[in-house]
Order: sequence, then structure tokens, then C-alpha cells
Amino acid sequence: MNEASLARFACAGVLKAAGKLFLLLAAVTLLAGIVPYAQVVQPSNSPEPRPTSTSTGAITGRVITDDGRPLPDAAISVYKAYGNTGPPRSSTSDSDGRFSVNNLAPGLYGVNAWAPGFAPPDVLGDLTAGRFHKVGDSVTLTLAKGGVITGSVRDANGDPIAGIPVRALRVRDANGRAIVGASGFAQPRMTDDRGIYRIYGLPSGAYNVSAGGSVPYFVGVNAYDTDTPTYYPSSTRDTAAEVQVRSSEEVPGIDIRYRAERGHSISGSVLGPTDGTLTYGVSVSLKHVLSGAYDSNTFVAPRNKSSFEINGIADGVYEIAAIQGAPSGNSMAAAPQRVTVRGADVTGLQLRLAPLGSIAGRSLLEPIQNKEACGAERPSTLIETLISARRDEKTKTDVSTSPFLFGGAITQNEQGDFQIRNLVSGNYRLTASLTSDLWYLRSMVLPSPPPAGQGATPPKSATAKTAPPASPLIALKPGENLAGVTLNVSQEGAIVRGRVIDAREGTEGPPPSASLKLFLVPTERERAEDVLRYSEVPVASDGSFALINLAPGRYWVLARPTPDEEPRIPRPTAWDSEARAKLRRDAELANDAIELKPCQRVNDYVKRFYVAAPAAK
Amino acid sequence: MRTLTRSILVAGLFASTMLFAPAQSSTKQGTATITGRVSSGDKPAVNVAVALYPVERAMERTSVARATTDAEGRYRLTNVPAGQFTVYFIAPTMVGLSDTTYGDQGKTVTIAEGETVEKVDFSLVRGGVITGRITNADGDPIIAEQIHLNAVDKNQRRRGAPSMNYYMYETDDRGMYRLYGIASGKYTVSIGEAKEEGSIRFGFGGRGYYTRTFYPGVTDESKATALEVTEGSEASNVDITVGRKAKSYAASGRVVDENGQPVPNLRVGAGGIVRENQLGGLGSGSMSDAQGQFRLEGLLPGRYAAFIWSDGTTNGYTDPIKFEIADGDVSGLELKLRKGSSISGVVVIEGTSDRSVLSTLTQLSLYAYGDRSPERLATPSFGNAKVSSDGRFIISGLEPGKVQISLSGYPPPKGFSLARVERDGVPQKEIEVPAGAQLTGFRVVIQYGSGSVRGFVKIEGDAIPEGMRIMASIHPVGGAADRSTRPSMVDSRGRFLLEGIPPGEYEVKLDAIFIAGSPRRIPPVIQRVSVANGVESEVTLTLDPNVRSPEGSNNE
Repeated sequence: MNEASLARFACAGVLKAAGKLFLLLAAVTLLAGIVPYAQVVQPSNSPEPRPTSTSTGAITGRVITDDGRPLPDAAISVYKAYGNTGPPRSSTSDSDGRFSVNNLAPGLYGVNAWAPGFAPPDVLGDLTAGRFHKVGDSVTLTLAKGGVITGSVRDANGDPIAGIPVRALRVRDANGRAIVGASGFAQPRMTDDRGIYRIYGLPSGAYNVSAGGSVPYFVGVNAYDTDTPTYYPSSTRDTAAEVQVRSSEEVPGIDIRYRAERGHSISGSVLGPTDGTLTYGVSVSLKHVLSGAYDSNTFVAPRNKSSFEINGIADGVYEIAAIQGAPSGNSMAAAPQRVTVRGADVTGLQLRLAPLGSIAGRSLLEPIQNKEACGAERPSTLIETLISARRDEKTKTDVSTSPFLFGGAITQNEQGDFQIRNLVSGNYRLTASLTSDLWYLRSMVLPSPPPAGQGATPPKSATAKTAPPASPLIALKPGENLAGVTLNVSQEGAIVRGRVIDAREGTEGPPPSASLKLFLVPTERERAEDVLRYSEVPVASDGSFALINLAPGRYWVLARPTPDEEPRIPRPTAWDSEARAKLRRDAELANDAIELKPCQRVNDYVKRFYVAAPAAK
Repeated sequence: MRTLTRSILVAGLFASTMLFAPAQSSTKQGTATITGRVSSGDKPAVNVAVALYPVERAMERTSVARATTDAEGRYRLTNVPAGQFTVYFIAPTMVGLSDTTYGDQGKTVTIAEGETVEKVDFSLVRGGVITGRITNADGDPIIAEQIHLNAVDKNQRRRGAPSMNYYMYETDDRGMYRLYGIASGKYTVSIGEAKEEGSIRFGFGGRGYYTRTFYPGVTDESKATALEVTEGSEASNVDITVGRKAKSYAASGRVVDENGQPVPNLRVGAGGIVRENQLGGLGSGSMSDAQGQFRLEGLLPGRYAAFIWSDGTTNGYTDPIKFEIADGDVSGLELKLRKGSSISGVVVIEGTSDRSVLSTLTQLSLYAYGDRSPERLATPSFGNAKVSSDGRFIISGLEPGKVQISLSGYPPPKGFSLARVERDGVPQKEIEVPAGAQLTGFRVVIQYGSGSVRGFVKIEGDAIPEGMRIMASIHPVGGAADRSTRPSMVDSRGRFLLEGIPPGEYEVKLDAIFIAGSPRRIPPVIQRVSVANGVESEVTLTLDPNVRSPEGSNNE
């Protein structure tokens, strides 16, 4: 076989696998906009701490529909949360919806289920919720039958347009809350010869439906890729009408009158870090800043000229980023650039690739002191702990695309050494998803700044008193490789589970607010600035909540409605100094305190709360 | 204060606009024009998009020019630069007269700066429609599965499905599908995977697969009902009932070195063994992990071979291991990474002293491919090496056996071709590479040419008949077929252009084939031509479309 035929079958393979590839790339693109994050805690599937696994085992579970029936034939994929990820392990649910994936090495895994016609799992949600699983876990996955949007696309004369890509981008969730900075991405469907399209498998929410335009990862010929997309019913993005869809519901008649407006182009070149040449392929993606939507992308192959061109762009402010993956796992990226398109093409952009930075260090598991409450020492490993870095910028929509490549970016070992690679410059906070709900991240110590820190020997477990502030912000410079970060992990934490109920007289159920959050705020004044001591968790619709990985101590318990315009990946309230101060004031005023002792499990905490429902908008 | 903030903001916006001020993209705009008419029967085809793509970058989706037909069906592509292009009409419901079951081939145009090419016309008919529903025995819809449209010809099956409109081949949430814009002919419709074809699917193995079932519900292809598609026809209720999903399986193992130590970060792939020592579908599987372990998922029952996907930088090779999937997973496969041999030396460019050309040395890379004798199972591995600025190169990780060196890239950079490979002044055609050897002292001579040949093809009788494709290629007189000068498609006016040719005596060869209707070849036409650097030679060839090739008809 010569190289030419190699290239040909590679192409054929791509076409054949295009649909699947699409989903895969879609996931990668979604992830490209974020850094992994594991701070927000969800009610866990593993209520009790278990001995840490040291041998291979299985993750088992069951797939059910949102109305509680078993879902057979669902595709299960189990993927490593960090390290050499490789392709996911796969399985299929049986007639009772059950599945088992065996021979998994100790570690943390994400578990996904996919079934045609059902809403795709929330990959971002998994990452943000730290919803990873250990070997031995049993996982219940609930899939909702997706909604359908269908209609036609016609031109100004009313004639049907065949073969035009139509996309539905989710802009609000099922509760009507805006998805801000969604890094949204939608798989296109094509109209048929009658101009009819049908988009299915949609999660509940509100959508912007658009026809035409340059479509990321599109396979085939698109006659409309130099046009700007026309939004339902016949408008631009700013004036698009939202289409409401609920699970398993069909919304017909979403007919689009196509505007056929020629867009502008954005072009330029991608330059390698040294002599400008490229070693590997580069993905250039364009994000609309205000909506967070990925509008387009293009690939630059190293063999061709390094130039790129993206067409069909409407006037607006965009952010363009370039990422180059490499087999070594050390990706390069060009710093995201703001591009304003206003009535003309944008040419001559130069995206220069530069090595990305990394943060490395070690987690130290502190021995159990309080054997009476916490039990005897067990052999423990930190391999089921996920240390991740999240960029902490004060913007409401995370407009600064962080070219983070999923896969191979985080490595960890049994000794607790970790390395997080492929980080763009910026401010970071480290978060830990811990193997046991009773463990907690007690403190974090950064290496002393140079020159003292030359050769950076990490300080041994520092006591809390000498480590102010406990969770400092890491300001990572471009390409900087920061080493020697120490995370002190205690095994003597606490858990609070319970329910929020309506505070009004004679009521028992959850308060009538659409969405609530529960906060723990440290009462001790000297802990006021210790971000690690703050905790927040969304309250489930039945009022239940679970706060895990808590440090022992005294806290105020505070409930608040979730803000309407919360980003999809919410920035913890305590990360912002002003918001933290306000949270403390509110909590002090409410004065509902709880004292947590080492290894204490509070299982039936009741928080009474009521707030008048916000006036209808 | 407020005003100040605003003016800073405005200044900022202004600055960013200035920075990216539109500098009239002069690189892609030219002065040539292409016009034509798109018709449907005796009526004009109105509002049809017409797009111009460079021949060389046809896989890329950026068009050079776009136009839409007017009320008379006329289009006009303007600001076209000089070069070779393909004109496509984009009307997914329509079929061009010269289209085959493989889809729209477009029309080639060779154009010079300032030139106007007229009458690049398309005659379209409305394609046929096939629509139906796929369900299982319980009547549940089969969702998001691929439909295969198979053009059939004299009982011989062809996998011909126009790939332009990939998305229409997928069933929706009701199990419905609707294929349209289909060229006239006979077709069968199927869904699912055939076990016996060495097909391979990776990564989504958890989904299992449906056994290939043809309309009206048969797994035996010879019993499939062929549907006759004619202009504007619609075949509905082409429904298929499938059986239960069958399971797919996994194969796992380790990659170890010669000392038995695990080798991480190598990409392990697999191919289905179609015939003895021949691989069919190939898939790139998983990277070996820190323990050297790999896992290939989604395998249908059948025979396979696992191997290392060499990317040209792997410093070693493995012998493929064959395995068979029957009704369970396979484990314990061991791929042994052997230390490869290497070939090193220098690359020199002949035929120019132009510094700007010589400086492109580092953009070249060499490619070494091994023996492909039928006695052994060939895997898609090859050696690849970049050339350093002083011309040195080393290709490592080679398997023992006969190796040939060529210029990498398909096609290689314009103007460069591999003249010869020497060692100690002796030309080397095939290099015998012993196991574990470091062969040094090779001299790879790259020839640079800036000559070109502009060709004119005269058709005996009249214009090039509809459905005929002519390819022009150039070969040194007395030399072997030179794969590094790209062939040129002859355009509708009978023109072609061959570029980047080193000086010398050549033969220009025309290969003509009818691709529509019943395909047949026409005997090649050959003409001699001299080429000099920086000179455009002209050549005229005459072709008679009525002569039949001695090989007779060709059902390719």
C-alpha cells in the first residue's frame, strides 16, 4: 500500500465514521472551552466510604428512562477520569437495563450511557459535578427521551431548500434559566428534498434554531457555508425566537424563511513555535463571545500551507483559538484572540502556537488521629482522587477560551503525585474530587517563590496555622511549569445530608422555589478568607441535598435561590472576595449554625427556608 | 469620567479593528471569469448554487468563488485566479447528466489570468427518491442507523452511494429515512453490517450491530429486491425489519519490547483479514497504557490482525498478530516491538540555485515503504523523516526487507521530484535492509523543476462527449512512470496544465474513460514534448472518442 491509497482509505474511514466522529469531536470541542473542575458536589451514588480498591474490579449499574423503566440496548462507555485515557471501555445494557464493565484497574472513571433518540448525557455536567466513579461502584444512569423540533426551510420565494444544515442550540435549561457561556455546539441535520428537517434527541429547554452558515465538523458539501445562519423564524442571532421543547415532545412547524445573507470571512495563518512550521494538525475554532456558541472550526493540516479561512461570519465579536494536539500529550495553543467583524472580511490573523503550562505537585494523605470516631488506619491510595485545575476569572461568561485538550492532560499515581498539563496562562484554583466523602482538602501550599524556591523542594505537610491563605490563587504565566504544590488531605472530614423544607407554618414539602443552593460558611473569623472552608451544593427538586468532604468545625447553614443567569459551569460564590463577604454577612444574619466533629455523618439535617417566588418576568 | 471611559473603550475597539483591517485578500482574488448555464430539461435551473474549488485541494471545503444561477439559469464566477479548478453545481435534489452512481464529478476548468471561460454548462434532471422505515420485529423504530444504498449493475454489487449528502443516510427517531437526488439506475437498500467483509468498528462497540438486511427483509444479497430509480421517481415504503442487535467483542493484550518490558503510548490498530495476507477495513484502536496494555473494541466475529500504527516516528516495528473473534472477547495478545533498522544520509536539491527554493528543504520529508510481497501480511506502517536544514535525514524504525524511498506528501510539493537515491555513487532502486542495521551514507537527489506544459486536446468530431473524463500525465522518455508530477484533468475546452516539471524530454499521455453509462476506456494517446525550466511548452493531442480500447469494456 502506498501513501496515496493510505490517504484514500483514511478519508473513506472518516466518511464512514463521520457521524460518530462528529459526536466525539463535539465532545472534544465542548471540553476545549473549559478546564476540568471538580468542586460542586452532587448527592453521591456511594453513600458510605469503602476501602480503597487496589485490585481490578467492575463498575456495574443500570440504565433507566426518566419514567423509571429499564432501558435495554443502551451503549455504555466507561472512561478514565485522568491519565492515559485511551478509548472508553464499552458495554451494552441488557433487557433489564443492567450493565457491567469488568477488569477495570483502580482509578476514577466517568460512566456514560447513550441510546438513540434519548437526550445525550451532559458531559460537561459530569466534569463539573465531579461525577466520577470508583471500581466497585454501582451507578444508576437516567436517560430522558429527547424532544423533537421539526419544520421546513424555504427561500424568499417560498420554495423549499434541500440539503441545508439546520442546528438547534440549547440556550435555556428545563427551568428556563439561561445557559450562559455554554460553549454550545449543536449537531446539524440536513433538510430533505422537500426542505423538511427533523432534529431529535433534544434535552428539555429552549433552543435557537438556525439554518445555513459554516458548520463545525460538517461532512460533505454545504452550499450555504458562506452565508450567515438564518435563525427561526427569519432573523439574526440577536432577534432569534426561542423554541421550547420538553422531553419526548414534538414541536412541529418551526419553519425558517432563509435570508441568504452573505457573511464575512476570517482568515490568517497558524505559526509553529520556532520556525513557524507545523508538526501536527491544528484545530482552529471560532466562538461567538456573547452567546458562547462555537460557530465554526477548521483544521489546518501540517502538510498544507498553514493558512486557514472561516466563512459565513455575521458581524459581531468573536474569539478565535488554535490548538495543536501531539502524541506526547503536550499540546500547544495560540492565545485566544478577540476578533471583531464589522462589515468586512478579517484577514491576516496570525495565530502563533506556544507551549502550554502545567501545575504539578503531590497530595499528602494525613494519618488518622481520631481513631475513636474515624476508625483504624486502612491501607489507602490516592489513585481514586482527582486533582484538577480550574481557571478562575471574574467574567460572567467565561469568554477566555481555555484550549484544554481532554485526555492525557492529568496524570496521577498511587503516591499522590499529580501533574496537570496543557494549561493556558491565567489564574487557577486547584480542586480535589476525593475518594471518600469523609475526606477533605485541608490546605494547599504553593512552593515558595524564587529565588528561595530554586529547585523547589515541596514543603512537608504544613500545619493549617502556617498556611495562609489555604487555597491561594495560582497565577500561571504562559508556558510556565509550576511544580511543588502540596495538597494536604485529611481523612477526618464530615458529611451533612438532609432536606430543605418550606419555612412557613404548617408546611412540610420543599420550598416553592425553582432552584436553590445550600451554603456552608465557616463561623470562625480567622477562617473567613479560607476558601476551602466554604461549601455549596445545589438542592434537588425534592429538597434533598448532600454536603460532603467538609472540614470539621462550626458553620452557618444558608439557603439561597440560584441566580437566574448562572453560568453553566458556576463559579463557586466563595471564590470572589466580595461575594464571599456578602455570603458571610447573609449567613451571619440568618444565624443557623451547625458544629461538625471529625468523621461525623449528619444524615437528617433539616433546613427551613422560604423566599417569596420571584415576580414573573 | 464616564466620557473618558467610553472614549478609551471606543479607542480600544478602533485599535482592534485597525489591527485586523481588511487588507483585500489579494492572494485568492484573480481576474479570470467562468460563465455557464444550468438547465433542467429545456428549462433553466434557477437559483442553483455553483461553486469553484481548486483541483488540488478538493477535500477542503473553502471555495474560490460562488455564484447562483439567475432566471435564465446563467451563472458567472468572477475574480477567479489562474489555475486548475473544478466547477460543481450544488443542487442536492438534482443529478447531472454526467454524474455516476458515485456522485457528482464536477467539471474541470484550466484558466489563465484575465481569461474568460464560457459555456461550462450543466444539464440536470431531478434525481429519484427512496424512502422507508426501519423497525425491529416489535415494530420499534431503529434510530440513528446508517442506510446503505447499493448501485447494482448486471448482478454485480457496487457500493456506490454519493457521499456529498452524508446525513440523509441516517434513520431518524421514527426509524424513517429519505434518500434523494439519486441518479437513474438500479439499487438495493440495506442496513447493518456484513460479517464476512472484514469490517471493523471501533469505539462504539457497545452498541453492537445489526446483521446486514436488504429490502424487503432478506440477509441474502441475491434475494434483495432491486429498485428501479428514474428521473423524479419516488419509491416509498421501502421498509426493512431487522433482527435483534448482535454483540460485538473486544481484543486486548500488551505491547512489550524485546526484553519483555511494557511499551506505552503506541497506537495499536487492527484490520479485518479479507483474504490470506490481505487486510480489509482498518481501524486505529487504542494507545498502549503505562503497562503496555491495549484494547480493541467493537469487533464483529471474524479474523483480524493487530499491529502498531506507525506514524513514521515509532522507533521500531512489530510483526502483526492474527486472531479470531468467534463469540467472545480475546485477551492476552502480545505485540513485540522490535528494534527497527535505519537509513540515513543527506538530501540535495538539483536543478536550481534559487535560494528561496533551496530553503524549502526543511519542508520536505522522505517516506520509506517496505516490501509488499503477498507472502506476508502487510500492515500500514512506514518510515517517515523530516529533512534538517543542512539536508541530513534519518528514517528509523524500519522492518527488515526491501525498502523504497520516496518524497512524502500526496502529491509532493509542487516542482519537487525524487530523481534518484545513491549510495557511494551507485544508484539504489530498492534498498535491502537487514534486521537491526544502521545503513548510512545515502544521498537522496531531489530535482526541482519549474517547467510547465500547457496542453490542448482536439476531439475527433466535436467537443468532449458528456460523461467522458480525460487525464493528462507526463513521464520522462525512457524513464519509469514519475509519480511525483501530478496529473492534470483535461477541462471541458480540452485544456490542461502540467506544472513543476524538471527540464528534459517527456511524453505526455492522455487517458480517457467514459464513466457514465457503461464505462469503457479509449486507447491512450501519447505525444513527445521538451521541457525547460521557467518555460511553458505547448502540446496538442488528438483523441478519437469512438475508438475502443483493445481491452474492451471495463466494468471498474
